[in-house]
Amino acid sequence: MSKLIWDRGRAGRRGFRVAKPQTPEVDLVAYLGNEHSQELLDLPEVSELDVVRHYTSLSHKNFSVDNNFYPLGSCTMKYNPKVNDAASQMSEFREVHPLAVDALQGSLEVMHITQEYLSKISGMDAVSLQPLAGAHGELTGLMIIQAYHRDRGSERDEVIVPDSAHGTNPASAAMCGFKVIEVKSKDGMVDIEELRQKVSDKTAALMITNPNTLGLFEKNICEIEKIVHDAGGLIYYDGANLNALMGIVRPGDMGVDVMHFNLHKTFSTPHGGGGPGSGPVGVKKHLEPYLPRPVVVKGEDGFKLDFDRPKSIGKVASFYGNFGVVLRAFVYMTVLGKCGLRKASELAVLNANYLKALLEDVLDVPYSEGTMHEFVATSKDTDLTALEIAKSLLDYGYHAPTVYFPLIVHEALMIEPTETESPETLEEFAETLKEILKNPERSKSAPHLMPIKRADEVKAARHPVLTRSQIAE
Amino acid sequence: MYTPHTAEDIQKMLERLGLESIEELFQYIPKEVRLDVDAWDFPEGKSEGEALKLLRAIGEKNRKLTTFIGLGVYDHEIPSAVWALAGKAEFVTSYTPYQAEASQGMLQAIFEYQSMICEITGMDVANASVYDGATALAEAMIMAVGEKRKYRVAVSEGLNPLYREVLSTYANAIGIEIIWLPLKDGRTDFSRSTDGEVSAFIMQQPNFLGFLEDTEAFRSTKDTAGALGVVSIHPILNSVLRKPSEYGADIVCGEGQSLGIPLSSGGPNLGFMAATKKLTRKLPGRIVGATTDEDGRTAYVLTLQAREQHIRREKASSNICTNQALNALAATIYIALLGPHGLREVAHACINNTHYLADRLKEVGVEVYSPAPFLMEFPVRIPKDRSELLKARLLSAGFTPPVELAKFAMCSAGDQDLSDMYLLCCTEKRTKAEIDAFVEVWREIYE
Repeated sequence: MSKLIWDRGRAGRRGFRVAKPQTPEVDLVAYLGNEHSQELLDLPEVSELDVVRHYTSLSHKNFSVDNNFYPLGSCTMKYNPKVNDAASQMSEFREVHPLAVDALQGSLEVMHITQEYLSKISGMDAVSLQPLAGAHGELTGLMIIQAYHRDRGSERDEVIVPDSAHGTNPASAAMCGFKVIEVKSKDGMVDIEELRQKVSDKTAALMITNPNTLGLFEKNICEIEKIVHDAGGLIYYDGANLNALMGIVRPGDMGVDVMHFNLHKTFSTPHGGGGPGSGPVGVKKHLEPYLPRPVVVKGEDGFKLDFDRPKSIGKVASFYGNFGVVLRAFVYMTVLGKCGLRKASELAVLNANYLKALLEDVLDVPYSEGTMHEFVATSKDTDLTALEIAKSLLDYGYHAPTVYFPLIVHEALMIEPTETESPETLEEFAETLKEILKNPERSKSAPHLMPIKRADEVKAARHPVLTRSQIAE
Repeated sequence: MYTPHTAEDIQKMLERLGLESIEELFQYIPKEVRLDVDAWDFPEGKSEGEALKLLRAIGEKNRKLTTFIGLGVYDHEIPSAVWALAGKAEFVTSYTPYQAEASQGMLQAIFEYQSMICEITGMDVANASVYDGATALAEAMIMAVGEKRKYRVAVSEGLNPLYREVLSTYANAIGIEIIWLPLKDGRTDFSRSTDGEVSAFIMQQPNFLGFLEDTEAFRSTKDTAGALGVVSIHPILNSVLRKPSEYGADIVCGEGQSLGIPLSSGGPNLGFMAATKKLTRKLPGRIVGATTDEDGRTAYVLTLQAREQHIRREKASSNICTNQALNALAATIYIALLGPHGLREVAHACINNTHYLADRLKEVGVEVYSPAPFLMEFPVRIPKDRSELLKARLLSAGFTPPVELAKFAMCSAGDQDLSDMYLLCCTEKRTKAEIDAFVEVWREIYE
């Protein structure tokens, strides 16, 4: 068993020396009285080298984009350029306190330019960088929609969500107090007839992902837009799949009223083992008054934070967004520019179509016409489940695709290669998949070569052990 | 560049697809919405060197100031080892650890993180992080309402004014009524009636003015009301204070930025959340659990996922997906390096420095408002005729001016006038010489 960091230590061992006190000691026992605690916390007591060895060893037990092809559908695991990291480490930005507003001109300028860039890429009129992740952007966007309708004295309380949507869509709508109305898919697209029946004077918005989670462009987008707008609803666009569209088509031109971006998908910022991400929100003019406060604006004497927004939904986070992430995305867009962004999307779509073609003999893709940046295959006609294929790939050094999503495809394998992979990588991956499918017996118990074999998830959920102290119990 | 395709590669791939051009791949997009690229107003790309040069020029417009402010995020020392390790690409460029066998590193680190957060807060379970201190509190409010099923909560006005705004935004969208409990002599007046039942009492320890709250008053009020207790804490200062579990807290959360995470112009930060065992299934976000693999070895997995949006959709405990995992890892490394003694030393140094600063300012005639014990922050009153000059002098001497409390949309010091009140802070990172130099600027104005 790999040791926990506590197990590497000895009482009295230290990993970091705090500077010797230079100012008079406050007698906390006397000063704080009952609120004071003398109890020493049960935390690791380790040397710096203990810590370095421990976390370096853990890092070796982790797949990552820098080490492995990571065709995880819906997650856009593209390469994270190193210049972005270099930028985020610049002390000019890194050491500034967000409430030292007189020291922030440079950071505000980065935010303002990033807002403009995102606005140009999306065709939206205004952007707020405050939301801290994609789902947070969704929630913010829905709050904006709610505020807009409330402002017009309307009681619209339903949000329509396609059955192919990410789980965050219905969850965000419910969190915001909306009733979630599901609309089914037909031939992999939003069923127009059903949509027509489900819109009403209660419809606050439709949440749409385009390309949708099958990787297909909703080609009836213009009609969808008309149906929802005619009913008085708004269109919310989930930007999770924007990587297919940069420089090709803009959500703002498709009739979208409000959307979020995932800087950690489309704009190459790293996923950090689950975060931090960044989920800026873009809106059309009519929704601009409702954006979270403050808004970064350009004034005559520099950039400033505009708090005077009477119709704003308020603040959704402590400060102005995950600035360190925004900074990385800013550098990415600056380096790529117009041609680079478009090329990234073109090659993301080319790579997905190429990989789909390489696999066409062995894996069925139920909704195949018009694949954009990703596709959803099914393993139901093979000898293996999607899970078994996923686990087998790990043994070959490939991260697994997204499995069992979207829910409308059985035994789904959602594959998104991204533009940063070479055709050779895709060819080798396809060969490996064929190899796995040819030897189903070995694959059923995979993985064999990882630090652990398959983990007992049922036991983990039935008898939760969530901390070190619960191990002993 | 970041795309490896040569012209021959593209040609070969198109041939395999039976296409003439990449453009054919976009044929399903209606023509009328296509972007006219020639007319698209987006700048041309730059080389890496050009981009960095541009960024450096913009960065120089930020001012390097010695920080004497806090209010939610703090200028603490960050050990070099923290980001040397948390910054390793194996962690940085990995995704959420859904594939447990290929993510044992991150999973174990988060398990350690949860264990540390539980030890610090005295709670039984912690999640793998949420966005920041403010949203952690908003999630805690939602948890409490979900548990007690009353859409009313009583919240101390001693909360960070920025948190108050975020809490109000969420409450307004969801339809939760907030009953604000004002401060009296620097602390929450828990004797104030809530005019009916509430799901939770929510407070911050120490409060935004830096003062210690009366934890026994908090406990007896929430117990009498049969409501849950929610406390937002500072994780380092908490190492010298009673654990919230000792005064009846059911949910403890806070901002973890102090634990090795840079100020970074406001983010990314780290929201931590912990709760009693009873509330486990109400917690938002990811949770790591220990289990075994087929060979009986310890293995770590994401667990209790039936709470989460990707399984439960609209019935999930929260919509959160992406969290702040990398910062949680950094905090874990920070806590390991500091250890139990180091954390207390940092807390002591912060308190000592802050009290030294307050005493020195009093000596030069500054009015310090301190009706209750304070730790790392304290308010001062600055007469209107001096505030502008003081601010200008502090800036030109390379110091952050104090935070003007009147400028926040939701800020109140209860029975005290806030219009001339400013907030100061001092961490362990400030040297005595820096504090003395800072006070010297005030002396010049006040003499």
